[in-house]
Amino acid sequence: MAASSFFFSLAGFAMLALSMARHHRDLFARAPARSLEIILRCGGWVAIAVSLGLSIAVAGTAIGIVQWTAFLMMAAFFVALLLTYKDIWWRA
Amino acid sequence: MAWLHTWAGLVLGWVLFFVFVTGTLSYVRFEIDRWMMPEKPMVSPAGTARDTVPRALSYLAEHGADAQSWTIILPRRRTYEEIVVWWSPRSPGGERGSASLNAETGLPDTAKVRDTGGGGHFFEMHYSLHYIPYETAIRIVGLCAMAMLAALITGIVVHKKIFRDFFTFRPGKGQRSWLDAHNLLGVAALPFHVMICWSGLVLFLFTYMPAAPALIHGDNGERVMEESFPSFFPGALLMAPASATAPISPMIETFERRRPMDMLGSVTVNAPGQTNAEVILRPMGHEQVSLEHDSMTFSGATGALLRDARPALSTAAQTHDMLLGLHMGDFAGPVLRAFYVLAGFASSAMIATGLVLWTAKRRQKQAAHLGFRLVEALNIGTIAGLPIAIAAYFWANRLLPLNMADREHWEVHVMFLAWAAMLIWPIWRSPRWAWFELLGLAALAFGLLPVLNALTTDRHLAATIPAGDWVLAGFDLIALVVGIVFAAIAIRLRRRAATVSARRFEGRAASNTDVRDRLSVASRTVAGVASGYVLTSLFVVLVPLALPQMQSATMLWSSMVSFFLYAATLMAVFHARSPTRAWLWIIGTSAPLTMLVVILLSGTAA
Repeated sequence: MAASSFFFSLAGFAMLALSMARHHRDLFARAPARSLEIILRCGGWVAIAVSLGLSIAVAGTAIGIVQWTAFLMMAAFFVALLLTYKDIWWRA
Repeated sequence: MAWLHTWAGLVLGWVLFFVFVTGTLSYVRFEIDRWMMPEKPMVSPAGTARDTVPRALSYLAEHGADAQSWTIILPRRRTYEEIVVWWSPRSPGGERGSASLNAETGLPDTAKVRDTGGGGHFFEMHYSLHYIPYETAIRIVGLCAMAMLAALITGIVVHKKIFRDFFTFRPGKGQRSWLDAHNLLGVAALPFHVMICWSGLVLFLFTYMPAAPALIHGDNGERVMEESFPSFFPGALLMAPASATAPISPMIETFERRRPMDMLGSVTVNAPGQTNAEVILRPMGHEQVSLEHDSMTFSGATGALLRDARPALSTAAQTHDMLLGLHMGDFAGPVLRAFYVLAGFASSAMIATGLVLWTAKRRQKQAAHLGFRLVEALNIGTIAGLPIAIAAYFWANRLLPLNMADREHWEVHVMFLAWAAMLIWPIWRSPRWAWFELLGLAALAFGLLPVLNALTTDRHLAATIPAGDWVLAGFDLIALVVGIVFAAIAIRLRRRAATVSARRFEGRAASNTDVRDRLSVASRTVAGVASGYVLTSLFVVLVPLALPQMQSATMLWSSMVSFFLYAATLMAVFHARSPTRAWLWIIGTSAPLTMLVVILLSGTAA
């Protein structure tokens, strides 16, 4: 269950990153449409909130918040690396 | 503001790098202990609390019979599965005794273990350095932590595109890449950086900010701590008639029934063998972050449950506790602890990239200057040299003669001698080759550790993996991986060292050569560092004086928050339009505050 919290964080940051024109262009060669941008932004924040809920549900409030913060930090770093080295795993 | 970030980071960066690397290793100090004491048995049986505690008690009854109190620390998940016991003497001159007991026999292990400080030395070094007297050393580290806090805040302020560049990293572009890496490491792990700096400062709260308890209570914070954390300072343990001790097993049973989510962590017996004996059972603390744990107190004579409640702490005390708990990370399970280690290395890497960035920005204009070359030598000798020194510590553990006098201290001497050698080496090598050579040496020093282990002990991979001892095997494997990573970096650097780099980044290379500029900077620095501290101390004293209810809690709050206020003062001083204005502001606010403090203090004293 803890892993699911991390994956929601990862998904959340991935969506937030893709809602930015710069990173959307990295993968899809064009900026996102306005509606897509809004969906990705909201979806990203919702996923991060869900990740918080999952962490607290599993580990209690105090440790849950600490764990969620840790997952957020790792997820942000991971998404940045995935975007930087997209040529390894992404075929445009 | 950028100036403050750069220079606070540079001047203390090498010490900060040392603090963060040794601090990160502290999270795995028990695992390091195990590897450095190969004479200890491999994977020993853990046993349940109900088996191990009575054995420990009988050992204590024999060896600490007339002690004032006994303490039993039960095996954590990650140590030797040994019980640590100690007893404190009744008479002031008596010896405090301690022992490590095997969990199965209840007796000390008979294997003769080599004299070593293990991972504990890293823990001590990261806040009290080495070779420097303790009181001075902790204040140097405190200054560094404070500078880092200021650097973090100014870094955020100066990072104009913090949201746009949140996920951005552009490798292979020289100075741009170093800046991107520094930013990414800083921003992605920002909560950790801020937490670890602030909590580190709060760990020595009244050492670094003594104003409030010194002026209001006239002590070093003892009274504030006693009033805020009552359970840690039990009342005087009086002499009372002797009495048999009630059996411990029902007490443990009650504990496990009432705390199903946690494990028994420690047992303390106050006034053992007397009618007023108390047995305090504390949990391991895996279900909460704070250090203050809900303990259960039983009567030692009758076995009755006396108290099962967490002492009510003020919010200030709870926050203090939470911060210490976050810094120490004792609550963390394996996943979170791995994260702590990664985050700690991310902080170290952030500092390292910052140091390298400083040289990358100024190389074109200042490559010949003595100051520049000194910084570059220090960079190479620290960023590549400190890992080599740490590897040397492990090499010394395996190679120093077992019956050597002061062996434990010589292991540490070897570490610092190696570091000194690595600092000297870059002086006569060109930077590119020095980087390559030291990184290559680091690769060998770590990569060959498992081989050295196999040649000098029988706790090598061929023995530890089949036995399932993943702590020992993990150490060897991680050393191997670290060696490979260093080798990969070194090889990449070699390819670049052979070709001339034509990449130029048009950035502003700051160079302050004007004497007037230097005086202005010096003036602001004195204003910020010295007078800023005075101003912060005034604030710390003023708030509790103005709010005398719950004064201890307010003193805790104002002192904990003071570090951010100090950082803000530093930033304001460097943001002011001129040094004169900065001084006017500081004096203009300090003077009336001083008068106010004097009035309030004499008012309470009267």
